[in-house]
Amino acid sequence: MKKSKAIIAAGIIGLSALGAIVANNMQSPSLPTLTTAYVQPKQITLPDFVLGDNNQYTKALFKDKWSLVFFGYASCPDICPTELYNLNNVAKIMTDAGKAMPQVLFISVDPQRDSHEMLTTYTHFYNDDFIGMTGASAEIDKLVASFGVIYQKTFLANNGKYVSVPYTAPIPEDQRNSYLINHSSRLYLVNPQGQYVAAFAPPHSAKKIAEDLLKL
Amino acid sequence: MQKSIITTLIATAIFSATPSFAAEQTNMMIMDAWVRAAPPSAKVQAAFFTVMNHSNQTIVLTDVEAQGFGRSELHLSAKKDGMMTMQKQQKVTIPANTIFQFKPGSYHVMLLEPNKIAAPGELVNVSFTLLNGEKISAQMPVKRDNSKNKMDHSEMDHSDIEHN
Repeated sequence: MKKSKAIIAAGIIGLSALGAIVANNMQSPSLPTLTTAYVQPKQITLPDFVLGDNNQYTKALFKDKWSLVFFGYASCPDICPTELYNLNNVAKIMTDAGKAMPQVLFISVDPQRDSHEMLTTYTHFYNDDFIGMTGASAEIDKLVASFGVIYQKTFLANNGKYVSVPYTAPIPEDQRNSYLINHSSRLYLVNPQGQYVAAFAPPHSAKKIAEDLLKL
Repeated sequence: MQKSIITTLIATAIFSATPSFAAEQTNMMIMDAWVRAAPPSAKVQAAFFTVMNHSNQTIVLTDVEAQGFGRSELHLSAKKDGMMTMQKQQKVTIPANTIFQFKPGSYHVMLLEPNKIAAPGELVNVSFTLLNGEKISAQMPVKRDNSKNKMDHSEMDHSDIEHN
């Protein structure tokens, strides 16, 4: 009798575990096993947001297509150009394989210096299909929070040391054009339901990213 | 002496291109130099290269200047607290008998305040000041990328190369 109770209990535990696995998979019906990307334990539905000069970029942008999202800024001389160049190589691999490249969104966290026009020229230099955008910091920060991005303004103070402050914090007048931005450099994957599902951690290899994207 | 000959031979094998510069007093070479092309609207560019220190002493780069740019700085990109950060370096020390790379995501020369963003095919004259006061300079070609694999060759902009 005791034994059968134990079997029933084990069965219930087993079934609930199975149920949890099924529920988990149902949340992400189309996500295959990815090799390089870190899959989010739980898909994060992105919030409503409004970006772009004419408020043309909203959550609707993510609908019905896969997207890759990178946060940076146009005065970034090393990390952001490397990333965009790399993403263009990913696009080439996808095209050669006859698969659709996810849309690439480059979101500038530096609206004080970057304009929509500048970001369009900037992203199109690497690939005509890449979309550059920015907007009010409050709107950017909605996405920043969902993806778990961190960024801060940093500048060289008079004592020769770098000082890092929140982006919207005031900084000395003479630093207003020359400050740098420290920022997360993960590449985020958003599914056609507008959910953040996985991230590629740096260093980014075009080949490895493409291998995962080809499975989608 | 033998070691330095071997180093040179290895270097010749690795870098088939001619050196951008070989210093006369300090036994060093700057090889494989390039300035990354940037959109005309950009405000900065970055230069990358390999320094070969053939001597038994450290070489210290203390300053950098580039023609056509109001300001140039030695920089290091690095990952810190989960973010990519970039910091100006007061000096960069190249250990004795080493090949030291300035490359994307690591050490680079940041070129600021451009008169005009340097376009692919153009050369940027970059000069370095060493701790011993010596100055050396290198002509760095502007390229979209420095990869040598087949895929990157296919996308080279030949129209720019003809102007070179």
